[in-house]
Amino acid sequence: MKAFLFVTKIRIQSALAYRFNVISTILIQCLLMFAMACFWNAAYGGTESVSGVREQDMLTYTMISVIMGNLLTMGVEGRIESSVKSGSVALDMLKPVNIYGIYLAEDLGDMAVALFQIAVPLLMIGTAMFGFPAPASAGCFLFFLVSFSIGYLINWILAALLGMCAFKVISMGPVRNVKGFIMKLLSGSVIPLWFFPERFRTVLEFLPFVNIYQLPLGIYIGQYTLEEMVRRTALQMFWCAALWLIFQSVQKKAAAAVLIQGG
Amino acid sequence: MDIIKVSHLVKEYKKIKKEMGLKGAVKNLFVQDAEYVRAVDDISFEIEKGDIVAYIGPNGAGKSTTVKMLSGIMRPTSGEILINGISPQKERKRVVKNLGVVFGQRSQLNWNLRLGETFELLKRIYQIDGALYEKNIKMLDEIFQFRDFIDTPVRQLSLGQRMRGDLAAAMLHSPEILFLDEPTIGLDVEAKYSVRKFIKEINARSKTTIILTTHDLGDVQELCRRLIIINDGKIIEDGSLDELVDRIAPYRQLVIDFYHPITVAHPKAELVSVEEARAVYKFRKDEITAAQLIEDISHTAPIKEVGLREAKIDDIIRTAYRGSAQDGTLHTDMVHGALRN
Repeated sequence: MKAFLFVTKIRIQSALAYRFNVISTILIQCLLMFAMACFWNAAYGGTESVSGVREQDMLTYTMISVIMGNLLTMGVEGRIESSVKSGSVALDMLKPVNIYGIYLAEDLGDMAVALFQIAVPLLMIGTAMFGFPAPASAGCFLFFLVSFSIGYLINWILAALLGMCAFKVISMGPVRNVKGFIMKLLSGSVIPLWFFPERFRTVLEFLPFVNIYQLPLGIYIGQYTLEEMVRRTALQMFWCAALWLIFQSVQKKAAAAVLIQGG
Repeated sequence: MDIIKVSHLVKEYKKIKKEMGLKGAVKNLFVQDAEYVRAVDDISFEIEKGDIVAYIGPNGAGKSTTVKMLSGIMRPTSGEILINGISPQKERKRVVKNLGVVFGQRSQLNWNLRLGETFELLKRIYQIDGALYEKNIKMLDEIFQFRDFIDTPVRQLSLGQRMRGDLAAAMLHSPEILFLDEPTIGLDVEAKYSVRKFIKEINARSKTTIILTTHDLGDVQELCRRLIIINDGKIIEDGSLDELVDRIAPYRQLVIDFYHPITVAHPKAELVSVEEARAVYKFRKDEITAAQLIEDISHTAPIKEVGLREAKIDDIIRTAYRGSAQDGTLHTDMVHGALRN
């Protein structure tokens, strides 16, 4: 446990050294936020509410979604792929520690850094441009935090699972980018599910992706009743547990099939 | 006591035959012919605690595969490995806690961290007790002298410094066994010398069992009491270096300069050449000692100068490698060729 905490700590330390990265990310994310806000503004075109969602809620949804996107960046896929490619995975496996725990600790460190370096400035700039994206209520905000954390784990496990394909195929090419796009679309991070056609939406509700963006965001803007929030969060926990089990079994297989590049 | 026991170890790889050319590449998409390659073929050996053993062989002989199986990264196809009585395949974490591994070509130090930070991280990973950690750092610093660069980011270290850091990092949790995979590769003469010195010192101080794979036979000569040579996945030699030299190159040459041109024969030595006052004798080490030979000859004619030539270690090892490839017949002429220079 101490090792994981230490990894998170040094990760934060070393990330603080890269200033340029931070400034460029903030600029790009601001542009994204602005573009999406304009899009919703045009789409609403003065209409008070669509599917029971007001334009101001949609702006909040968008702002928080962009901020969440910066917190949910996962290094684990790339980390597994590159260490399999270079063969350094052998060194990682020579330590009496769970390497996935180390990878998670690194990603959590990155998130902590992103929270202060990117999320907070984005929130301030967003507030200045479009007003403060307030949650529907304090209760909703607490529920959002819980739901966001579970969503983070789901997202992480999915990323780790994809990363472990590298043990089999070694080079994954653009698969990671494609996964990124599909996830963004299916998770409701850009367009919330209630704007999708009925049938499509029903299918999406059964997939784990909605639990990453749509659910926490919906809770944040007060889309759900208390009863619904509890039910959906329970379902989210179920997804998390199921994916965790799959992850455990794949992890064992991956370790057995280890193939080390370059001697 | 045997700290490492390996019996009938086999590793088979499935290798997919790829056909050449575009046509072959298209065909490979649909049909793949698999072929099995035995990288390690029925290997057995034991290693005693505190020993330094060289595990050598030509490229692709199966050295790294063996080391990977010994350290529990790779599963053998069949056979058994016991390290301190524990199987690394069954209890990887328990075994690696007692293992230090250094790859000369691959650093375990984190590029972005300072050396000291990596040590701190390892302290937590191996759950090293605070007092023991301080003691080990102090002892390792005496050997490797890393105080000067402990606060330097690893990417700024020289190769020699990095190697010292890597060796120290591998020894931090006082492992009983140390695997060194080409620890002196790419180092300059001075750094190589000090790394060898460090390895000896670690072995002497903490009775660490060391297994060394290397292509630098200087390492073997300097460090190892025992030599295991592997080729094509099989062990072809196992014993001390002296034994191997005696067997593969039993001949030595004695060069004698007399005061005048003279030919002196000896029953146990063959006279290879006579050039003016210089005579070269070839003799078997087990038949006569050099001292005896010199004494015998000096009875007949006064000797001005003597020189002794031995086969070069490189040639001996090369002969051993080749010997296994060609039905066990040793290329002794090659060793003799080396003697002539």
